[in-house]
Amino acid sequence: MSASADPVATLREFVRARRTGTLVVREGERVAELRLALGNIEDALFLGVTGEKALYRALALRGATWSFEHRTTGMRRIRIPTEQILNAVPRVLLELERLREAFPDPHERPLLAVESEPGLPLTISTSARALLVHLRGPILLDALLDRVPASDLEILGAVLELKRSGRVRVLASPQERVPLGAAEDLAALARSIEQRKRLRIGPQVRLIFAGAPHRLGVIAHAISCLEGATPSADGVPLIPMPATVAHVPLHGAMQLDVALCPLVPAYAPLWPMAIKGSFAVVRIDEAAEHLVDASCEAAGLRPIDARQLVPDYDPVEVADVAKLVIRALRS
Amino acid sequence: MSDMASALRMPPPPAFAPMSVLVVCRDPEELRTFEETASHMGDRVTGVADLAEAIAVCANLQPDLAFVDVTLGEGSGLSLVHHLQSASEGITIYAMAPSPKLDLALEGLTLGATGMVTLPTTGDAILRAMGEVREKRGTVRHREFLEAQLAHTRNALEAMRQMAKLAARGAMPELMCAVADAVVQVGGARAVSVYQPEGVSLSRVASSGPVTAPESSGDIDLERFGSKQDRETFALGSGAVVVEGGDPSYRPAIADLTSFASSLVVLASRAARAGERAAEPARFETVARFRELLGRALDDAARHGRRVSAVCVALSDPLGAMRRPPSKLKEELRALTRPGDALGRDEGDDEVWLLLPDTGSLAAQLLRRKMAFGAVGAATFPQDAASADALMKLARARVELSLRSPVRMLDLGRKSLRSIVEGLLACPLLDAGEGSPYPLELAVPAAHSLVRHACIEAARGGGASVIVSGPRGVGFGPVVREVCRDVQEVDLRDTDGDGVDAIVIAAEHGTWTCCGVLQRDRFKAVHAADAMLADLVARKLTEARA
Repeated sequence: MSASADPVATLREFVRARRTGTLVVREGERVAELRLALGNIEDALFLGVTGEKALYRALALRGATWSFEHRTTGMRRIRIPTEQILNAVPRVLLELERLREAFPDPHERPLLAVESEPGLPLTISTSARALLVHLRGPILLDALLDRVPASDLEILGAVLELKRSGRVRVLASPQERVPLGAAEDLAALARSIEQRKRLRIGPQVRLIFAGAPHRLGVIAHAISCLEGATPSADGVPLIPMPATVAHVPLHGAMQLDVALCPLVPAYAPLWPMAIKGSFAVVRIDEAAEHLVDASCEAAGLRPIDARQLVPDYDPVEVADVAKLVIRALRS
Repeated sequence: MSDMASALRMPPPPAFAPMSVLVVCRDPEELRTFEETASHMGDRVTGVADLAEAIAVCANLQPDLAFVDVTLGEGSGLSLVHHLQSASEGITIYAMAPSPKLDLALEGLTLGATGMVTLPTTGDAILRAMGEVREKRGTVRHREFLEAQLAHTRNALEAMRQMAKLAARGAMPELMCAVADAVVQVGGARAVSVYQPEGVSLSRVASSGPVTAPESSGDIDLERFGSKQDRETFALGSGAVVVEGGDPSYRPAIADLTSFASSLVVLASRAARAGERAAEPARFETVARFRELLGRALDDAARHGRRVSAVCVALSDPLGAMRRPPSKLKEELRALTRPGDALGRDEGDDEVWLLLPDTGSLAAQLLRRKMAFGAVGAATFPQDAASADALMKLARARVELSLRSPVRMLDLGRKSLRSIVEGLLACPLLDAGEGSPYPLELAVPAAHSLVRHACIEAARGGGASVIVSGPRGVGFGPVVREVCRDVQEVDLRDTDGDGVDAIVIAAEHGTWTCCGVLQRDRFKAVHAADAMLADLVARKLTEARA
């Protein structure tokens, strides 16, 4: 059987007929499975998400095609009575839609928790407080909804609460690129880089940002918003180790390779090779200070503190990070 | 070897560009006649009716030929004949006047005009005048080309004579520099890098001009680099020459030159070998003299884009792990030297210095491996430092570091690969310093990611040499081969290292080793940036393979 109709009405029909099997919902390449046993919704699977969370996402699909397969059901993850779910669905879907409207461009603009500042309110709900740990580094709303086991409704409500209380910020969109500098300034910078003849390993100028991994995530996002920036073809390592994250054109054929060195001491043996031949190392916090100093010293470099270069920089502001890059290259 | 014709000849000059013709005349009919006639030959005509405009246009246009109506402005058109000559170098001017005023045109001849044309003009008269100018331009151009050709041939012959002289002396480093200079001079390149084999990869041994080519690389890397816009790679014996920029029409000349140089490389190698046989073994200099020699080698290397390594070997060994008498080590060092290397030691000192000209960091690392666990520190120009004092200080600091290596602290030198791994896993963090091993416990995909990105970092500078165990266990081999070409995969099945996963990366800018075992789908390992440990693991892997 295959049909394209109102998802909630379709599901209600199968429940009423006390069917056992799997309802397969297809919308383009997205496939969801709703498992029924004698008309009771027992489980749902949708793009790696299961249970109630998957059920609401599947029911929110518009223009999807439905088909029923007589497959036996697997484990039971949905414990709420089916009737209760069906009654709640219209309200939940409406509420989800309303909450999502508070986050423009959720696929492009990551969210980030503000590092605790004394001026911010502390009276936030428990669910919002629990969410902060996932927001230490930049994360897209959809990724957050997938990562946290709570329901989408609960998460969206908590994020909105955090946003309203100033504990969460929405970062820039990579679609709105910010120039690294004026063309003539970049030309002068390129000339000065060539004149300084620092040791270069590889053809391009390499700039390293070193710091705690979650802070480097913010810098990486800002770098990706610079004009002409392209992500590294080598991808991102699965572990916090040094790697090039983006290439940014400087002037003519000269290109800047921006690398991140997460300061997790377990991976310290990889730092010397990454730092050697870099033009400069910018330290954004005090993590593993002595080990960074030793690796830089072996490479004939002296790490520069970001606050020394741009005292009041905000890593969330792309223009501030651009200023940081320029000053590091001038140093 | 080719007949060298291309190397000695300049490429033919491009075909003639169309002439630019300025016509100063008020009559539009006359201007049209000029335009129509000139268009047959593809020449460009600019017509002006005013004297001031003629001077302005001439300054911008730099015409080859001008026809001036000298009757313009009540005879002041005559002065234009004079002005145009100063405004446009090499211009040919024809004075034009109607028959009753031909005396003015004659006067124009006295002021520097080449000929005169009667107004109203005819197509024949214009064609004749333009033909004469074209012929004159052709003669001048041909003479200039022949002069340049002669100078080019002289330069090429002189460059070849110099190269042949150096080859006969067996002076390979100087020959490489001469090849780089000759390609720039004769082949018109902007920058040239010369590579020769070093281990299994190619290393830059000489350069000329502002090069952007990598310092060291495998063949395929260089070919890929050279296949990009305005770059080309030429074979030079078993090495390569990467040419950047310059006129592409000179590429056949460069091909001939590098082919000739390839023959000279063979001659030079033979001569060098003959010289080596006759050469005295390297003598020990004082440390002061050694420093002076190192300084000179650095100056030379900086001038020609070459590399120099300084190696420090500690004769004393506080932990007693170096089980051989200093006299034996000295003999070993003497055996490792080549002509041009230098040894340095002061009486009573506990350290010996080794100067290795034209030796990069990778080659210095291989030499260190040959020394089999002596306390050795190597520092290379330009990667590590630029002055003799700084290089020696760094090499000595690396000796200190190797004295604190776990290889000595845990006496791992004589243990099997499995025992080494077990020993390191049992006490990984020795001092939590920069050379200390650090423990890891990773899922297999994370371990693959670690090795892949470590290889990417190593290959950043061009070539990287990797020894890796396989194919069982975590299976790093395919991951490494995806990034590096110089990969030695060692099968540890049925050896004492069976079940151990190990990888050693040696790059121009550092070393890294990681070794461990797979336990319940988790890779339990240690990793370190310790050159001595990397040498030991590499040695154990190679021995297992043997």
